[in-house]
Amino acid sequence: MRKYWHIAGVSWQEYFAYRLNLGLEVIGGVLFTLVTIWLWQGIAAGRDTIGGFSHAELITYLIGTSFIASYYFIAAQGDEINDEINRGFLSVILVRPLSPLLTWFVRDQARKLLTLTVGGTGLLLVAVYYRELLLPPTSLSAVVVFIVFVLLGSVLHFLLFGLFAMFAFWSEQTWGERFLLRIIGELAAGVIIPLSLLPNVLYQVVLWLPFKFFAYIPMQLYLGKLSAVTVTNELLQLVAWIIVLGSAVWITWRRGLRAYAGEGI
Amino acid sequence: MRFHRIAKLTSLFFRLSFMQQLAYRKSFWLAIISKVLRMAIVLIFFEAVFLHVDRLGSWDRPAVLTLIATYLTFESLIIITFHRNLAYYLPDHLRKGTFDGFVTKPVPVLPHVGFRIIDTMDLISSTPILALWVYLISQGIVRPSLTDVAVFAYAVVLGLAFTFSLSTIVASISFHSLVSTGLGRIYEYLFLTGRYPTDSLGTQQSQLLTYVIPFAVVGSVPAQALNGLLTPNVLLGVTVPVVVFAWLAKVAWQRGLKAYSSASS
Repeated sequence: MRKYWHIAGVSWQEYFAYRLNLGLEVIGGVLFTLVTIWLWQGIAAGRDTIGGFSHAELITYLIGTSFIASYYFIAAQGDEINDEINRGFLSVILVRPLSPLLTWFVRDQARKLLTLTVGGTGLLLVAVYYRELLLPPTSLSAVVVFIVFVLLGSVLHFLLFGLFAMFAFWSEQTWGERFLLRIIGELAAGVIIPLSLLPNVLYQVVLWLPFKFFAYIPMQLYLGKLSAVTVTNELLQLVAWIIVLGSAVWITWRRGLRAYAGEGI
Repeated sequence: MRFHRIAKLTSLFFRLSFMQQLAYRKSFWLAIISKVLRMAIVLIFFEAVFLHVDRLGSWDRPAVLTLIATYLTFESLIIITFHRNLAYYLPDHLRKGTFDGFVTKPVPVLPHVGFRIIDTMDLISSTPILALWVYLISQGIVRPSLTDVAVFAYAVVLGLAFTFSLSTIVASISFHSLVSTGLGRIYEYLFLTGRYPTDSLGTQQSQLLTYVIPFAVVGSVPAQALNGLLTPNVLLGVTVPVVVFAWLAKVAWQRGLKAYSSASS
């Protein structure tokens, strides 16, 4: 296990090589969060609630989803897997006493933690500024379940983008597929708007997709808007998605390895 | 003769870009679908908002539709032409040492670098914007007078000058820094604010985005012009920072060129 900690450490060092650039990229996201908050404040001005969300709930929701987004969405999503397969760098990992899937997962988590750390620092300033409107979690158990959902969601995120990136075994470029996923995720994760505010037909559709676990469900949990039964159902759904996508990743990996020709080295 | 040569070169760049992007055909078409979807998401977002409120600042639903059409037109224009060329491809040329090929040609460097690659992918994916304009005009949502059209055209020129200046500033910084994508990312996030009615973001924020860093000029200002709501004061007020940014861009570019020491030689 120690070698994977080492990989995580090396990944951090690599990303920190251009720390100013990384910081600027993340600050961009923080600035956009601020603008989104201003917009929703404008929308909510003079009203008690918007679609069942009070002013404070909306601000808490937006800041919370921004924290989560800095964890999931800023990181390059599947780029590394795609590039390593296409450029033949996978061969280097294959000859090492490492599991390539686990190596990719560890690197992905290291990058996510880094962007969360950098982005989270900026977002903390936003949170401090809006402290009077920020709602605390409804209970300690809500915090624990929230963290469990976010962590499992990050596994789901890796599996989803990893699966599409692994199509690189058969295709020279998987950017289009992953871009499509990202765009759907922009709306369906509930980062820019709580999903329940969407038109009803669309809301019903996005509830069937896995993206809701990236931001909407964790924040609903945090705000105490889900009953215990619903939380259990959602958790079961999340685990089911992880099992299905995990199996798909494993099958794709096994089949992909047979197709892999070490092209590019 | 000169115009004929420019037209010929542009046509050549266009065909080259189209051929390059079609090399990965599946990704190309999926990316086009994604980009169209991204435009749809902007519309869905505002449709969802207008399910819950009647107005956004001083903007009603038809006015916001005009704003979205204006913003998407700007976004497409700059992405098709200069944005990626300056913010991403130029730093790449500097790193690889291939920038020499630009400075040794008997043409002005900035226009050559800035418009070298015409993004055909975005050109194709922009066609729904035309449909949106046709819808707005056919439904009588946009009914500008000749004066409105003239003011709109002036605002569009201002918007293009502002965005070109910002892209040039970002590009110029790459002469002094190894990686400068972070600044480009901040610019892109701030550009997104153009799709929101500025006065819905709050008074101070609106003034900041109109008279200091005038991102209103890629959305609210031209849209107001088209609706006949733009006052001469705002138009004059927004011209000043655009001129300042254009001057800054000129200085930054000249300093960048002076600092260039040819990485490849």
